[in-house]
Amino acid sequence: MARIIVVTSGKGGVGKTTTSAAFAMGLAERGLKTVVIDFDVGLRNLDLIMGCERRVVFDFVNVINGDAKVGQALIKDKRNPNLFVLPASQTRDKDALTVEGVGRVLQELGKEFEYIVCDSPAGIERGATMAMYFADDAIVVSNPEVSSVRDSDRMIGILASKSRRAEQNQEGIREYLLVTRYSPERVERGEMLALEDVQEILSLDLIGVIPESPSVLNSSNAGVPVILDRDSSAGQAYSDMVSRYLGDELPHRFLDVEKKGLFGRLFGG
Amino acid sequence: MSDQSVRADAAVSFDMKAGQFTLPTLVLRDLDTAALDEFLAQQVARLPAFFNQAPVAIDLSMLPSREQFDELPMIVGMLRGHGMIPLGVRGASEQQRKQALALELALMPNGRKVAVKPAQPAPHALPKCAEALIVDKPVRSGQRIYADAGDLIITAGVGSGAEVMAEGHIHAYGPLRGRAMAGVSGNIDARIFCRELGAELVSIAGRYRVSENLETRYRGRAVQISLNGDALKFEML
Repeated sequence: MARIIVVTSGKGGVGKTTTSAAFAMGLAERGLKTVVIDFDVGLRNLDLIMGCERRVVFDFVNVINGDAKVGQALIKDKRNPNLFVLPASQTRDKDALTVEGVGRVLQELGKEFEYIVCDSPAGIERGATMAMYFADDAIVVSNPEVSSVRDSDRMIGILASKSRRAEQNQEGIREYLLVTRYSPERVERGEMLALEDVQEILSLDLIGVIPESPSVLNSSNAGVPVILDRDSSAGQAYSDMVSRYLGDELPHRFLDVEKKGLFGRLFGG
Repeated sequence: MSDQSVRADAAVSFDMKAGQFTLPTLVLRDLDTAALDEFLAQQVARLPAFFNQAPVAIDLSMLPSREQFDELPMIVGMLRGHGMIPLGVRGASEQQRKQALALELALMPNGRKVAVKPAQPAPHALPKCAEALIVDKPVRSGQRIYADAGDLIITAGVGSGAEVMAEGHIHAYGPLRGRAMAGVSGNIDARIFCRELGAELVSIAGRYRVSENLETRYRGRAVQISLNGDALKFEML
């Protein structure tokens, strides 16, 4: 049975879809058969970030309703044969998701895949609770900013109480913190929460720090998961994060203000 | 399979267990329903979250008459109107029990004799060594912890947006960032002890103060909060 990972946050716009795409691609690159599912029914984005928006025929809701088989809805990634995408419906909304339906689809996917990444929508209502219900692991994404941190705290509380594991008194979901859009310059100026502050408030294992980087927007415009931009700091940080998830202990990079040399200052970057 | 039958076995999907609950009890001394309505409105306004959907019992033992009285259905409706859920009566006479049955109210076991005094009906006397609820995991935003039998001891942090409540004292050893309410049923002797005060709201027996009105010198420090008459008293620990 596959390992199910939910990428969630509470707050919107912090980087869940960016992370889901990069994380799933990272696992696939390491030879692990992975599927990434968009749970944001009605406001789908994962297909855009993955660059497969022009190949969507059937979606998650079609499969739940029995209009299509899982195999018909899955979109194979053109860059990596280990990676598949299950897009969300754009014409329906989250009421179309049911626990039984989602459970059935996950069970079927679990026979074929080693990892199932669930891209959660923002909020704490049905879409988000469905995405996390069956999870074994959770990546809680947070910006180093007060409202995002508080929303993440709320989400962590919900993960501990509303998941299937919690309801059945099993071992809880393994939670990881991912801090995104981190800017050491702004931290130094006192404009942004420092990593230590976020960790102190949320008390979770830190799986990665993704620096603020223009490459994220460039990648999403191109429909490419940012982890494939090997030169970018964000891409490299995501790669580190995948390694840590799989058990490697790596130090966290991009935490300190870069001292730019003459060339750096002349040519930006 | 005699006394074994009540315990759950793998194939059975339910359990009958002994539960213990502390219920706020409305002690009726007369049938002045207008005054009662006003009194309930005041109680609910002081502690809205506490009384919302709260199970309550009605104690009839102090009523002058042991006869049935017409006001009982109205009183039950009134409690419901204020958001409470009346579960049962106690101290009822034979005739009053029949009334309670008709209203589908349970018969609660008779407690200790309630002393006659012009005090609020909610119980506020704590046993000497109250049972403490110990919480050692962080209390997350949006979560609520309620120690209904006495003190609350929290060794991890209380997040912003979380609520911790106790009938007795609250001892917070981690950063206290959410709401802390001690002595919720009216125990004026309850106190709040914390190592790092950052609470959004603190309250003892309903008297509260919000973070904005907290003196700067107490922020982030180890503080003891108690009730002095009607005002909260803050002291460094």
